[in-house]
Amino acid sequence: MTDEARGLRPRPDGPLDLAPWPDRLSAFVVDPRRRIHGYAGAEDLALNYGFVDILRLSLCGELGTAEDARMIDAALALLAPVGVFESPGRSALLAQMGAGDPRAGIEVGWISLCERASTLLERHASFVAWLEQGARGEAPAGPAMPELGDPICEPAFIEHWRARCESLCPGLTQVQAALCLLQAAGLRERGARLLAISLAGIGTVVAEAGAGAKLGFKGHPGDLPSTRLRAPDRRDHDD
Amino acid sequence: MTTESWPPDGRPSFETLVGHSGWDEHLFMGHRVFEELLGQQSWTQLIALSILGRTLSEHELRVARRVAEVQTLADPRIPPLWVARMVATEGRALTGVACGMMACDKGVIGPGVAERCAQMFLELDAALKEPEDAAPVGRWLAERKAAKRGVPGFGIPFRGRDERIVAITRAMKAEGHEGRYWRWCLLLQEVAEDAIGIPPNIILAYASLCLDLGFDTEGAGLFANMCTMHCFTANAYEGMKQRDEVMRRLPDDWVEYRGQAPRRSPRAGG
Repeated sequence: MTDEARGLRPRPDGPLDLAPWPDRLSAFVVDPRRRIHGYAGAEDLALNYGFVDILRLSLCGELGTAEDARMIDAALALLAPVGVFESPGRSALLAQMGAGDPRAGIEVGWISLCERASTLLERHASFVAWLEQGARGEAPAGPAMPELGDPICEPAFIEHWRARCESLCPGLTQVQAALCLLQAAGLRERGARLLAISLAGIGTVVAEAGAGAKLGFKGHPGDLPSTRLRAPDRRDHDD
Repeated sequence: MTTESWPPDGRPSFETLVGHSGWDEHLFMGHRVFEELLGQQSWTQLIALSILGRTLSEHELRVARRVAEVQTLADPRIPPLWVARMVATEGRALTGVACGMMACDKGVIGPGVAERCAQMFLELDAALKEPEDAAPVGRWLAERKAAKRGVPGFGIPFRGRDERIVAITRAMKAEGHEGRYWRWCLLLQEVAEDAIGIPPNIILAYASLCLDLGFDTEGAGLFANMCTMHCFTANAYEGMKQRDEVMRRLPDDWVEYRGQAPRRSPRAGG
């Protein structure tokens, strides 16, 4: 059957038709055999390493030490509790209720966690800059973020990790401590930080969405916070 | 109706102009939906109302519609449209639309650049006061580029000029539009080649027209993005219907792996 008979028509010339595109898509991390940075999945990585090791390998290009994995694990654990009372948790809950499918809760939860991670890094910009410059001198004061649930880190936690992560010091918040550990474990790019912070919270967010969705919309406090209706303060057009 | 000391039990609350659902009538942006909006407003008007907080005049609405219409560039090979189609290929068109639009929000290409571009117009307006003379505009633009402060709204890939800015300029002339920021845009178009050697693109026009319509910089970016929704929708819907395997996984022959060669991990004895 000809193209014309199939309802196709000749493609006219345009800028995108004449552009010097490469012929093939470049891949740098996963090859078509599904090796990650050269390491086979089922035959090697899945037998010998955990998910956090593979996460670090994916982001850094090389396998880290067992200590690196433990530090990333600890950072993710610090960042894991994201409640239904926070925007990612509640938006995931409402999405799952609305769609009647956990898929929607996971999708919306991920996006909301990424937005939150971005805000969090923005507010910690001076702290991250301090880390990137070798954590010399006193750590910049942390931003007050009660709305993001960031308490001061337990002294025992700091004490436990301080020998392996020199930037940790008493008085840091949990988010700051997590950022220190990620930096020490080799996750030093903005993308890696964003991913780690988002990834850490997805489990609690999805779990809360699943549990809360069973209550249905009538079990959700739809007037909390309540709305106060504002009168329009701009005039419509004059004509 | 409750107007004072609401909410009564001290619970947290927030202010909103956006909406209220009533028994027989609803409110949207301060308007009664059935009485004032139903049958009287276009989709473009509703989007503008949702950001601006007021409806557009007839002239403004024509300008807004031209902004939306001229953004109709839906070739699936344009990167954010790839995103819409590829995500939708997995089965859901709306997710594709959302992901595609997220891919260019506040980005380095596409309508999301309008926000930064609008900011540039505000700075130009503050610096030069009146959009009358091209020469100072050219100097201002050249200095901005030399200072590496960014020149959003300039540059066009794979071609020497942006056909869309030609089309919208023609359309604005036909509409008799002489808004302040549009006049700055015309001057920037005039001086671009000599001042910085980079042709203007359609984002420059979007940003100036959105400011003329009364949008703030963030509103300009959002409105410009919303006006491209039909391009994302068309790609996502077609991608969802086709569910083409070649969009879900590219055949190996068309992938060039440029990473590490096969190796064994230390724990596997490598």
